[in-house]
Amino acid sequence: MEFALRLSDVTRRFGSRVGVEGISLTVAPGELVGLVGPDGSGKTTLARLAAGVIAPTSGTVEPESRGRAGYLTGRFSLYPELTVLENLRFFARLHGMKGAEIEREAERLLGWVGLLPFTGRRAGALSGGMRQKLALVCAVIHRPPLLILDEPTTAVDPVARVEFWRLLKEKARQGCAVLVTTPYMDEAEHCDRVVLLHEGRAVAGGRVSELKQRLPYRMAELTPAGGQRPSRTALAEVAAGLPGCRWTVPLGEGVRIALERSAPLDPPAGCELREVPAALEDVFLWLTGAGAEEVPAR
Amino acid sequence: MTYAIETQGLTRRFGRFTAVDSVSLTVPEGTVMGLLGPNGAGKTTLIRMLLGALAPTAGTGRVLGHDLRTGAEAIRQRVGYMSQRFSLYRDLTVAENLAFFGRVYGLRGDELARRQEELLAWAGLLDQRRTIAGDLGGGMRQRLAFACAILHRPSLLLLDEATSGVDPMSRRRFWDLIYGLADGGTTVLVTTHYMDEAAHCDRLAMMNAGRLVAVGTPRELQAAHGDGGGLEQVFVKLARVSAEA
Repeated sequence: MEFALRLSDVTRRFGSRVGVEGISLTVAPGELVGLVGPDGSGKTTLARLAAGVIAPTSGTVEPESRGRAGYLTGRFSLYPELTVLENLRFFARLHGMKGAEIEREAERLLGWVGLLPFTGRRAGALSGGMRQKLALVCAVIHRPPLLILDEPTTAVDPVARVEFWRLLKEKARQGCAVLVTTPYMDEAEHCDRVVLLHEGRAVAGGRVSELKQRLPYRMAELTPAGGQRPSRTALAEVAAGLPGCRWTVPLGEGVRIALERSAPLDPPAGCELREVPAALEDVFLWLTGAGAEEVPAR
Repeated sequence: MTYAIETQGLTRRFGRFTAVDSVSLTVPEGTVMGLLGPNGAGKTTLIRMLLGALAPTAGTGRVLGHDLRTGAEAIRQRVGYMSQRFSLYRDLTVAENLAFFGRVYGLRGDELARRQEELLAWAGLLDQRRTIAGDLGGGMRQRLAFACAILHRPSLLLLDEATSGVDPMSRRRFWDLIYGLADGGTTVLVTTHYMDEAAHCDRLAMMNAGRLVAVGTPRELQAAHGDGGGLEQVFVKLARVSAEA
């Protein structure tokens, strides 16, 4: 298989602390792959290993020369006092681009992300979403075959986030290999494939739809029927008492429940019970063993 | 029903710019209320007015029974605040952090020791009391910051982008703590950019361009504005108008 990035059994320790352990991962040209896990799960370490910023303690990262990779971290290093166009020219020159080529690419990319009307605005005066788009075009102006983004959407509002993911998908469709980290399970839905990270290890990997199908339970939501307002504790007890209940998660006015597939969906008195689609977070709870603690004693 | 927050036509202008435009909002006591909106929608300005930190240009409001204009000090004493950057002392132990914030809130001696124990148990940190805060995992650090924010038993608690970024198991524990406080009568105001966090709230208030554009339970908003999609769809639809203005 052709690859733009391949990690084989990669481990990285920091002194006695393990950053990541035994990770294998391939990203092919045109693929958008997500590294998904909570803070402290090893995402950033893995992104740095992939970008070649740090070296593995053991294992290999290929290709050896990844100097052309675009790399974007949560803290974008833009120059706030320079304009949009000046920032872009700066990063283009860093990558050895020249005169007419820079101007042509700059116009094409700024048009692509919708920043053409703002070329003269100082980067420091841009909104969060616009700043992030500028950082993206700065990272891809030299047409890298591999783009690595470490939590690019942190603290960006949902409108700008939806737009940013659209741009990443387009970049991948153009043939770029894209590796992106996020702590948000719902964002992972945008990726072609994901690797779920927990305490430095990969607990699962694959297409999001495949991972959801692996969940051996069906998910349901229990809510009070119209007019009823039971306490949250009471509702949680009702949920835990349902036949086949594996675990419960309180959610606003209702409770999200993992049920054995064979369990009936009979709503208890005063409640509504309906099946809901599984989410990646349900899979994560199942795989990290967190759900198992919640098997009600009966 | 008793309201923790009641505003009528609350407005704040900065020069010719209207940051908050005639917001009328009621939040019953014990509600977990999510305040959503794109950057620049006016959320922070509204919150600063509700906490008595900024005077309104027009309109009226009562928070915890106190008038926003005349009762700012009384409001501040009954409010707790936790931000995304959990402001803990990373080089102090868990117990030392609690003791420090307790003293800031005027707790002393036996009362402080009692409250400290109570909160260590509440946050599930009894075994970590001597752990340096900087060495805690994300979920535990979050619960410690939460405990520090409620040392003085606030009646209104503001969680400012403070609920996300931890693993799903820690997140569930965190929301359990939030729900426990709310069931005990504490009103909780949550701001977040993440719609799966918003789904945990009892009610949501969506702001855009300084105005309150929708209020309801997550399910009501989804039914009214979701076009068959999730809360993210609701947000995008209600925010699109001035997202990049």
